[in-house]
Amino acid sequence: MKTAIIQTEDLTKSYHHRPVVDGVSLLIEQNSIYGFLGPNGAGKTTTMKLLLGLTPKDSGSISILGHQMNEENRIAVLSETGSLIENPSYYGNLTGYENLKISCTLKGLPFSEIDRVLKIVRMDSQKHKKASHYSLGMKQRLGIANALLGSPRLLLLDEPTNGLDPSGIHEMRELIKSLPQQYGMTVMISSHLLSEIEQVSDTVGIISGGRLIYQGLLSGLRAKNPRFLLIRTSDNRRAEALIAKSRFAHLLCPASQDAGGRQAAPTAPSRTICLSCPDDRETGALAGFLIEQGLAIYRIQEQQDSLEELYLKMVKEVSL
Amino acid sequence: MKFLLVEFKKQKGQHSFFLFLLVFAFTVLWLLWCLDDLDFSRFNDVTGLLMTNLLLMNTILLPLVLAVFASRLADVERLGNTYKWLCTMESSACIYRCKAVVGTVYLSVFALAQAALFALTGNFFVPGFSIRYVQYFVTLLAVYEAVFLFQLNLSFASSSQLLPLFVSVGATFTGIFSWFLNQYPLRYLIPWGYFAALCNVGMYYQEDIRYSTYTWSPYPVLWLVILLIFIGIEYLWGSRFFRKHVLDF
Repeated sequence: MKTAIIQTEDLTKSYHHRPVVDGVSLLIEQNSIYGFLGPNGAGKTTTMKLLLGLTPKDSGSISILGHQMNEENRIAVLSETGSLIENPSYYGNLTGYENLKISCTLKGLPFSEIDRVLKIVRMDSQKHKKASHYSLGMKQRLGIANALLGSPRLLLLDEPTNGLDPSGIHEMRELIKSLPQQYGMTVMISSHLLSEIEQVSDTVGIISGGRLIYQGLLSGLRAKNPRFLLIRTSDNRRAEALIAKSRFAHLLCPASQDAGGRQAAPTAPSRTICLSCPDDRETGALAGFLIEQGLAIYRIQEQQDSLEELYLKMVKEVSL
Repeated sequence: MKFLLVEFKKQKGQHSFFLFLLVFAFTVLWLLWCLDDLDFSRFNDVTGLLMTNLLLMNTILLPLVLAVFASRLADVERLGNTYKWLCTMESSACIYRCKAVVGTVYLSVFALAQAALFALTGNFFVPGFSIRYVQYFVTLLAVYEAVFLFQLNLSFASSSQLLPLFVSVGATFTGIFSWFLNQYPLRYLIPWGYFAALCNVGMYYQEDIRYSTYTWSPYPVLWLVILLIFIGIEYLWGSRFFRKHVLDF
């Protein structure tokens, strides 16, 4: 069993009596890339700020790198942590190199670290340019470089691809993916895009309305996603009635649905009959049965919501 | 020490040193202009005249200069969104303390330069050391510190840096009024008024013979102590406010 790098219990934070983080219990294992998903305003940034002690919690506990974090040991615990929260932080009047020198001085790191991290984020040719003259993408890279200083054991990145162009996003993704293997880091990355998280992490936490609605492997999330069999025949109404009276009745969905899983008129000839997905043998038998009854089968199609649709459904359910 | 070093590094490109140098140069020119057509038959004490003139110049110039300086110290963090970065490496109390110390170092050098200017000019007319030069330095440093901390706190508390600047313009006027409305306690109620409150030289102008008589009184230690207490309160309040709201800025 892997060691927990971040563990929270019933973490709660309210602003003006409205809970923005509501009983969140995170478990992030060592050397993993944990995707923290949620729509805008779900509580991702607040949770990350709570983890870094940047905002005081109302209740609950936070354990980081095996230490129960409190105001007294916060800075010491965070010395092995790198972070990029919301927009990148920088001093516009200083060059990229000088900005990183500030972090090195405060963290007690050698300045040789600066060239190493600048090379990682491919900013070494821009290091003597003032940070105020950087593009948003370059500022974001500087922020990542800052977080990587000293090869921290834990990296918290809040929407790190914001402001990056497609090639920059790709580079960033590859960089994040390489961190656990190459540097032994544990990465917590937040985003509101499942597609982004899906490409870098295998463990996710989904937060909505301040509550953690799912935590676990992405494969577990996929398993939660039911598959359907959609059948289109020459006479859907008759086919449905026949199925309902046959040994295949248990496969019928409560009401036939359209491909998106939304309720649709079951008798509409242009629609399909929706069945719980049977195995191949049963599908074959069902097709044979319908043909025996004189119906022509135009299409048999297996349908599954995309992970994105499932995620949106989960988020929507919580916000209702 | 490393925190302080970092705070000084952040000052690069802020031109704060240049700002003070410019004001000092302006003060020197103003003083030379005052001395240029000096008629010694019309007043009794040149050091008294120098001290009142220098303090008056400070009353006019320094509110705005200190507002700009304090605003830059605060704004460098706000513009770069740096508090959430810094607060993972140092405590918020440390950030505030370092800003206050850096400000004090700049102000000490500036006050020392002004005291040296006073001493040099004074020695030109009346050779020898005078305790008044030291008193002048103490007055400047105490008032600078009080005004600086006030402006620093104001810069942290307000989202717009225009507010501290507007306050400083008003401060210049009330500061000047505090010199000339000495029948009212205004000079004791506002930090900018302490340039006048801590001035221990009085002037009596006889209009009929057009003669100014400067008289020295003991240094107002009580008002200095009151100002120091005010500085202490400003620091404690500012530090507490900063710790509480640093990540809201």
